[in-house]
Amino acid sequence: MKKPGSRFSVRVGGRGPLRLLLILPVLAVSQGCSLDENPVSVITPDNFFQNEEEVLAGLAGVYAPLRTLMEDFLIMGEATTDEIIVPTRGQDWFDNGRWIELWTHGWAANSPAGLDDANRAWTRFFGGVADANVVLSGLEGVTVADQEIIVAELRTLRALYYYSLMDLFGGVPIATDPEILARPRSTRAELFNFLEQELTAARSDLPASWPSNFNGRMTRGAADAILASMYLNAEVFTGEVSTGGLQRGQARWQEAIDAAERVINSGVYSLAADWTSIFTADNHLSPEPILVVKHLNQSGLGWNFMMRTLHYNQISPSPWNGWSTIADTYNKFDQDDLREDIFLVGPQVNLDTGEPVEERGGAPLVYGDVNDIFQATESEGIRIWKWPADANRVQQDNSNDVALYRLAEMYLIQAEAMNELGNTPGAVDQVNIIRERVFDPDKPLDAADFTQATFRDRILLERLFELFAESKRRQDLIRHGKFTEPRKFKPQSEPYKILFPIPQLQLDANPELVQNPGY
Amino acid sequence: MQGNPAVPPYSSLITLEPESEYVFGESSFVGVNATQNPNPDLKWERTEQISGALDMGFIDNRLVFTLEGYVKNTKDLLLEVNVPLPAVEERRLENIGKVKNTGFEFSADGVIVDNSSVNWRAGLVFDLNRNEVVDLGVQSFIANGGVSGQGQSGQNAQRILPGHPIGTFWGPEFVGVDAQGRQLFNQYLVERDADGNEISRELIGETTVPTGDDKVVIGDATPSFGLGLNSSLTWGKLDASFLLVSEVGQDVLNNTALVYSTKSNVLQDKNFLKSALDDPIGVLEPAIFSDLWIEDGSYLRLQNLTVGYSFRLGSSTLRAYVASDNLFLITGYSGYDPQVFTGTDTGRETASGAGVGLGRSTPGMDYLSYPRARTILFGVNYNI
Repeated sequence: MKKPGSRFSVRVGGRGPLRLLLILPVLAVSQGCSLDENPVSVITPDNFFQNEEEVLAGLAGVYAPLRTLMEDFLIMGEATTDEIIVPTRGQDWFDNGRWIELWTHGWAANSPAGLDDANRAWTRFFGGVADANVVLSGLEGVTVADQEIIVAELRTLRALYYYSLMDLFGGVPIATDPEILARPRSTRAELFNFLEQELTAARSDLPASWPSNFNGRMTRGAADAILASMYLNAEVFTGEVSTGGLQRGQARWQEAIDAAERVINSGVYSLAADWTSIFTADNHLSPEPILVVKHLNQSGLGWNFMMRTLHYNQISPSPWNGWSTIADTYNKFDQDDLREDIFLVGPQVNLDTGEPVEERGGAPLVYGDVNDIFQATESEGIRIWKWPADANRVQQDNSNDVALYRLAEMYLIQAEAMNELGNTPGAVDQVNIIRERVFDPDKPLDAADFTQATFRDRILLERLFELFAESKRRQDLIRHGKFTEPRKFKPQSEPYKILFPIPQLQLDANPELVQNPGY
Repeated sequence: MQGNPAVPPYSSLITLEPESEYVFGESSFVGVNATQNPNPDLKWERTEQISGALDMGFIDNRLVFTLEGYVKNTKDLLLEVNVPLPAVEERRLENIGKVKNTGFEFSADGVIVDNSSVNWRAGLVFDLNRNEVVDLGVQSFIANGGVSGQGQSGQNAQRILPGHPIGTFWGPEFVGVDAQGRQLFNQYLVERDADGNEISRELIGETTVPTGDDKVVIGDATPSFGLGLNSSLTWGKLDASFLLVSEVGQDVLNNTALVYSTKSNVLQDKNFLKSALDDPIGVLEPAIFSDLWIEDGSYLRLQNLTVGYSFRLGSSTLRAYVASDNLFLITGYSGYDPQVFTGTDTGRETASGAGVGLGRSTPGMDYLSYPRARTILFGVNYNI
C-alpha cells in the first residue's frame, strides 16, 4: 500500500487552464518459463541408495520419525483418556483450548485439536509411510547386501505407521510408492488385511535379533508383537463405525494368542526381574522390550517426558508443569503394587537434590487431585514418574528408550484373548505371571474370584497398571467399549468419537477423502 | 507485468538430504530423507495490471489534481499448499491462488500564494486499496499470524481466506465473564456438508472454551483509507513545513496486552499491566485470544514539522531550524503505536500454511513492537 504523503511535489509547466495529461490503460502479461533441471549438486532417490552405507542412512531416515511420533502416540493415545489430563494453569497450557478438547472429546475436523493434534498425527504418520516408500522404491533398481532384510524392515516400519493411522482415523489411503496422488480411503478392514499381509510377509525375512550395536532395529518379534496387537483389536479394526458407534467385526482371539506365543517362545525376550529397570536410562540392556523408540542423552535425541509432567522447580532444567493424572485414576492402583510408585503425589522433593521443593509462591509443593480443569493451580494433578531421569542427561534429553511393545503386554494379550475364548483360569495364570514381580509378598489373582465378565474388567485394570502412559489406553478403552464414558470434567461423548475426524486441511488437500461418520 | 522469481532451486525434484538422526545400539546415525515434494509444473507468478490516471492542472497549474485507479490481478500465485498424503512433506509449492488489488488514489497540490516574499504550497493525498484473496486452490484457508506468549502454542490470529483481504483476523467473540470471572465467548451451532463447508450457523449461547465453529472473522488489518496532508511555507527569511498522515479503519491485535494484561501473571510472580485491574476477568483465567484484544488502530500523526530561519552573513547564508518527527499521535489504540511493523510469519505448528507469493504478510500484529521515536532536531546550515 502506498503511504499517504508520499507525493507532495507540485507539478509545474502546464499552459492551458485545463490540461489532460494522461489516460493510459496498461495491460501487460509476463509469460511463465518452465523449470527443467538435471542437477548434479543434489541427491535424489535416483542417484542414492547405491551401497550399504547409503542404504543405512536411508533406513535411519525412516526410523527417525518414531522419536517425534512419541508425542503423537502420547497425545492421541493418552491425553484423550483418563490417564493423562492437561489442565489449564493460569497463563500456561491453554494452548487454543486443545488440551481441554482432548480430555472432553470436544474435537472436530476444524477445531483446535482437529487442526493441530489430529492434523499433526495424520501428517507425521503419513510422513513415515512416505519416507519408507521413497527408500523402498529407491531400492528397486539396485542390489545391496542383506536386501531382503532391509526391505522387510522398511515394510514393517511402514506397517507400524499405518497401524496408527488405522487406529486413529480408520481406513486411509494405502500407498506403496512415492507418487503424490489424491487416493481414496480404503476401508478399515482393507487396511487391516493389507497390514496383516505385509507383516506376515516381512516377519520371515526379519532377524530374530540384532547385534547390540544395531539394537532398536526391526525384528521378527516386533512384527509378531504388532500382529498380536492387531488381532487383539481385530473386532474394532475390522468393524464398522457409524454415527451410532462401533459395529464389531470378526474376532481373531486365537491368532492373537498365537502371535503373542511366537514372541514369548522366541527365546529372545524375558521379563525383567526388576520392573522399574524397564524404564530407566540404561534400559537398552533390559531383556523385556520388543520394539522400542531409541533415545540418547544428546541434544535432540532424548526422551523429555519429565518436562511435560514435572513442576517448574522439581528438576533441572525447569520443566513445564503440565501433564497430570486425576485421583480417580490413581486411586484404582493397589498401594502394595510396585507399579503404583510411578506416581508423584503429596509433598514433593527436588528430584536432583532430594531437598523439599516449593511452589513459585514459596509454599511447599504438594501434588493432589485436579480440582478445576480450566483454572488449575500449580500443584494440582498427580504426576507421572515412570521413566526416571537420566543422571547423565543433557538438558532435557534423557537416554531412556521407550517401548512400544514389550513382553509383559504379550502375556496380557494372551490373557485377554483366552478369557474371551472362555478360558478364564488360563487368563488368570497369564496375568499372574506379570504380577509376580510387582508384589512382595506375592499377591496372585484367584480364578475362583472371577467370571468371564468380571475378569474382562480386571484385565483392563491390569493393563492400566502395567502399561500406564505407554500409549495403549485409548485403544484399550475403545476395545472394551468404555472410551466415550463420562468421567471427571467430561460428559458422555458421542459414540462416533472412537475415531478422530479427518482434519479439514487434509479434506481440502485430497478431494477423494470422505469424512468419518458424525463429523 | 512482473513475475515472482522466489522459486527455490530444484523445486521440481524429490531431493534427499541428511536431515534426521536415529539411534541404533547406543550411537546416532545420520538419516537421509526426502525433504521436498516434487512439482515439475512450477512457473513464475503472473501479474496483470490495468491502471488509469488523470492529471488536471488549473490556473497555470497552480492547482493540480491527480486521480489514479488500478486493478491488479496476481495469478498462479506460488503457495505452499497441502498435498494429498502420503507424501514426504505436508506441503509443496504450487502455482495456485489468485489475489486481486483494487486501488484508488487522489491527490491535490496547490500553490496558494506565490509572490516575491511568500511561497505557500499545500497538498492532500487520499488513498484506498482493497485487497482480496480470490482463490487458494483446494485449500479453504491458510492459518496465519501466530499469537505470541505463554500458553498460546498452536494459536493463530489470522486466516488467509478466499473472499477476504490478507490480514483478516479470525477468532472467538468475547461477550463477558461469568460469576467466577471466566471469559465467555459466543457459541455457535454450525451445520456442514460432507466436504466440511458451512451450510448454516446459529448462535446458541456462550462457552468458556471456544472451539472451531465458534471462530469467525473478527477484524481486518487493512485501513479503509489513508490520508496525507502537507504544506510548506517560505515567508521571507522564515520557512516552515509539515506532514500529517492518517490511516483509518484498520484493526490491530494488541498481543502485548493479551500477554501482559492478564492477571494470572501474578500466579507466577510476574508483573502485569495496571489495566488488568479494571477488567472483570478472574485471576486464574488464562490469556485467551479473542476479539477482546483486537482494537481499532486508526490514527493521525504529525509525521514531520520543520521551522527554519535564514540569515545572511556577508556572502554566505546561515539557516537555523528545528525539525521534529512524530511530534504527536492521536489514536484510540491502547498500545504504544498502532502503526506496527508488518512482519512475516515464521509459521507455527501445523495449521500454518505458507504462501511464498503472499509474502507471508501478517499486518496488524503488535507484540512488544518498539514504539516510534519522537525526535526534535535543532540544526544550523551554513553555506559559504
